[in-house]
Amino acid sequence: MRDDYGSFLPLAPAALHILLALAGEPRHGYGIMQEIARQSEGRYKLGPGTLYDNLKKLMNEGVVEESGAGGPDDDPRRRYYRLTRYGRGLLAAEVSRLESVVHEARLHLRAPLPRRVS
Amino acid sequence: MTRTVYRGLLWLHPRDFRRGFAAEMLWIFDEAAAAEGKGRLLLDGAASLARQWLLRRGAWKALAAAGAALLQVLLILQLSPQTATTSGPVRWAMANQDFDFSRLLALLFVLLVFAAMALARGTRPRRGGIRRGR
Repeated sequence: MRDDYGSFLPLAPAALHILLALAGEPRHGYGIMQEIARQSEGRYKLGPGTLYDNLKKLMNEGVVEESGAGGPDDDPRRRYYRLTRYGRGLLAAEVSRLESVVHEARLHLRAPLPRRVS
Repeated sequence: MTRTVYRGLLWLHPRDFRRGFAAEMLWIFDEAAAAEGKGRLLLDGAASLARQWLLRRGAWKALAAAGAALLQVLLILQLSPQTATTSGPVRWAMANQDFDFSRLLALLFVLLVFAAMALARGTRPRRGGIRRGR
């Protein structure tokens, strides 16, 4: 089983937000857009063009796949997407990378500034 | 009206992208036009169109090749004795009675066009965002 996430990292912001939006449950395109806006408190908004450009790439890479989820009353144009097992591992690897970045940043920000000798 | 324009933008996308996602994008337009703003969605559609053709399909290389071909034709017309005027490079060529110069230039541009076409066929479209590395 492939687990070489390093070649994918760091993820582009749009790809990271899409993976985060799909981490909880399968969602359709508009649902992904809404979830991204919710998670970022409206600061990061993805248009449909950017969303599907990224989704296409993520699907080609085997990170996201189409899901059969969806009710009988759903609009037939709706398609649901979910993370693959590889995609979930990739997201975990990216989160771990970000945690180490944040840890490093906090260490540097807490460190006392060098005193100026006059 | 804006829906028709948006639909037209989607129709202009490359076939594989259109088949895969155009219906969903139009559905999102129908659902989100009020909340997101029709203008914003139209701009996004136009940006997507440019992205899919120019970046993902490498159409800029074909445009460059077409531009070089056009330049070649213009230069041949400019340097040919039938249409010669007495200005610029034509005057120089006539003074030197060296119309082989125009043939050489034409050949150079033909080679340039073929090189651009070979590059366009041999180079994969640029990847953005997530990267492949396996």
